[in-house]
Amino acid sequence: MRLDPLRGAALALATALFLAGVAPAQSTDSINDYDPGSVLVFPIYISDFTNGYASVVSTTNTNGDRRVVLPGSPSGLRGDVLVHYFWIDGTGTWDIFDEQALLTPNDTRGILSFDSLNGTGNQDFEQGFLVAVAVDPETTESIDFDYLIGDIVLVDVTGNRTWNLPAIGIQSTTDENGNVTERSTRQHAFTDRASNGGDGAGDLDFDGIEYRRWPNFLFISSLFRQDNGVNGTNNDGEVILLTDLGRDFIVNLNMLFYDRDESESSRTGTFTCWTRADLATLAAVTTTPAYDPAGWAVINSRDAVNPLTGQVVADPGLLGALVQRVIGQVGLEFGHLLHHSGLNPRNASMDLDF
Amino acid sequence: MRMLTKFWATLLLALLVTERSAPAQPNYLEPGSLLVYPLVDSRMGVGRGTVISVTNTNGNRVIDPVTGYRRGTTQVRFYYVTLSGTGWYLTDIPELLTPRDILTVLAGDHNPQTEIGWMFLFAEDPETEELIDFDYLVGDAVLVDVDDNRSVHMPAMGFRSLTEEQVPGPQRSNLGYAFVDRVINGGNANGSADFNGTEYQNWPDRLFLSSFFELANLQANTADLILLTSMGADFRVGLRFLIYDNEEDQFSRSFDFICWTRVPLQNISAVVRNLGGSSRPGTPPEEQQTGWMRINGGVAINPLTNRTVQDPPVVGAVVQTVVAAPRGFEFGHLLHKTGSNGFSHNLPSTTITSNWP
Repeated sequence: MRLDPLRGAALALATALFLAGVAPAQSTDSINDYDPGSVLVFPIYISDFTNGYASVVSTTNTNGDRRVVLPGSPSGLRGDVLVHYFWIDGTGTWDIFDEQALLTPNDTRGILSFDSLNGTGNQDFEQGFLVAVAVDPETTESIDFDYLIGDIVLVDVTGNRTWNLPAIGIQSTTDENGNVTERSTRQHAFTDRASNGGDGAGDLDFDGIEYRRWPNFLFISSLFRQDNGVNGTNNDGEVILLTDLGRDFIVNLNMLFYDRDESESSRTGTFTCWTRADLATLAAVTTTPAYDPAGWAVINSRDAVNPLTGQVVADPGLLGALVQRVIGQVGLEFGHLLHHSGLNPRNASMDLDF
Repeated sequence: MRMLTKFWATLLLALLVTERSAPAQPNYLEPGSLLVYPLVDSRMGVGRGTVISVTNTNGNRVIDPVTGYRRGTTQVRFYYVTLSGTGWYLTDIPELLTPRDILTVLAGDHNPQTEIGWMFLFAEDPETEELIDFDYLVGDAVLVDVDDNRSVHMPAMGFRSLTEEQVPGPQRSNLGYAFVDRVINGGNANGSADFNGTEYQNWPDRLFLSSFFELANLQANTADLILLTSMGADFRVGLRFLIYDNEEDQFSRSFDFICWTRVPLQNISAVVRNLGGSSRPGTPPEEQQTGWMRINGGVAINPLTNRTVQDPPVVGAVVQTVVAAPRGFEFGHLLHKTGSNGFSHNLPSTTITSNWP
């Protein structure tokens, strides 16, 4: 059968439009760390005041909409947001402590981690990571509110060192995907509702439908030789990693380390929930002279295993940061978020018990 | 009929091209073809220094029979930029990065011009020295002040080339990478790296300083904003600040600079000396006295030609110091951002000595 060129083109177009219409709308963009987001991930906090460690967490609402919500609705401003903080303990219990704070339009909130955690009797929460989620002040449901930015300052008073990290901004994709039928009274789309394309499971799904997807590969763009006392200095560093899978799974990592001559060393590793792994222990090759002045590394998650049930999950989500110290005549500490690329083949999901 | 067929074909092509297009908005932490380092100090002997790293994440080790290079090889050209007097000065240094290679340099050794300013580098074909779409570069810089026991670590801002995503079957180098600036590939052949959403991703539209501490004690705490533009020394770049204290009170302020600046926040606005906060009744006691800022491009003007540019492109970072005697703590990070700046602008890519016989 010969197909008329015009009809053929029209058929192809119709097919394309049909597919675009029936397929679930899904963003193919990865997280954009430095852009405002609806979820902020602070890859590390330290709150061990006894030993001189503290963190200052800042969260800012860049939405400046001061219009009152519609008459008849509860009082408040359109740009108000309730930020639900989830402090995840990284010292082995993986417990979660949560709290909420209302940020009015253009509001910023700076808190000492000690005041939130230890001051309320949560003595176990000496270190770990923090997730801040934008939720509707009335229903406390998660919303598409890509206006949050944040950062954290980590202070070691005893060692006279400090460093800081921006929070990783994760954007909601509910509004962009165009499936929104239900909004809050402040006109922000509910991310988890099935009517808006969400799965209604009460968790955070980084699937390109509720939120942007997590990356596939992480890069340590440079790491100094971990020389542990050689040449009168004591350079050491830690890679900080967290997964979406929580405490039930052991995550298996594949890592490739490259020295200054591009020689490659492979290494596997495991962690649960969150880790602050010493680089020299993780890969002893980083202590060799070939890493002077620097090398670099690629990190990819292979799978995760639940040791109790035997369940295996491929491609667990990973986010991370790096901190390094150079301790010679002086002590210096510095760090940054890890670079990343690609989209994780699996949709990460965090069940934080809203 | 023929016209209609052409219409549908064009529409289909547009749909396909749209599907292939990459976001024009940069994601600083993804590998790029062009990296921007907002603060580089090449001055030596004063207890300061900057360790710059650039890494080629491309692992293609296949040897190209024509060039003899491994396919994943690229040349990166460092451009150190500083402002002095009425001009901006550039020093360019090419370096070869083989597959999976990392190059770490001390800025003062690499560029012995004893300058402070910023730096950018981009991927170019090692044969022709033309710009190429090579989204495999990541980098960072550690700034050290040994005398004061301070250090700051910042990733470089990665900007992706969009040639590969937007042009079907682009003209490529012998090593297989699309030429960015060639007309046939959608470039404008001006010898520069254009941030126009075609050659490279646009710069961001707005910047945010997510938080800063109150600077009440002028002898102790400091916070410096680092701002830079691609518009060189020909333009005075005007910016509009909106500053918010701990009570969400809004203060506006204008500020202008040329090329690059490191400016204390107090010099932008005295508001930063008193942010309200916990001294006010009803404020929770755990609240720290912090504020934040929005930074929008205003108007840039060339004082010689009177040419004006609306919404000039700017990127930046912050470095803060909190002094709790006898200690001083220093930390910093890139500024948050949002949106895409619509103004097409560029950075030079032609080697400064290219016309030398």
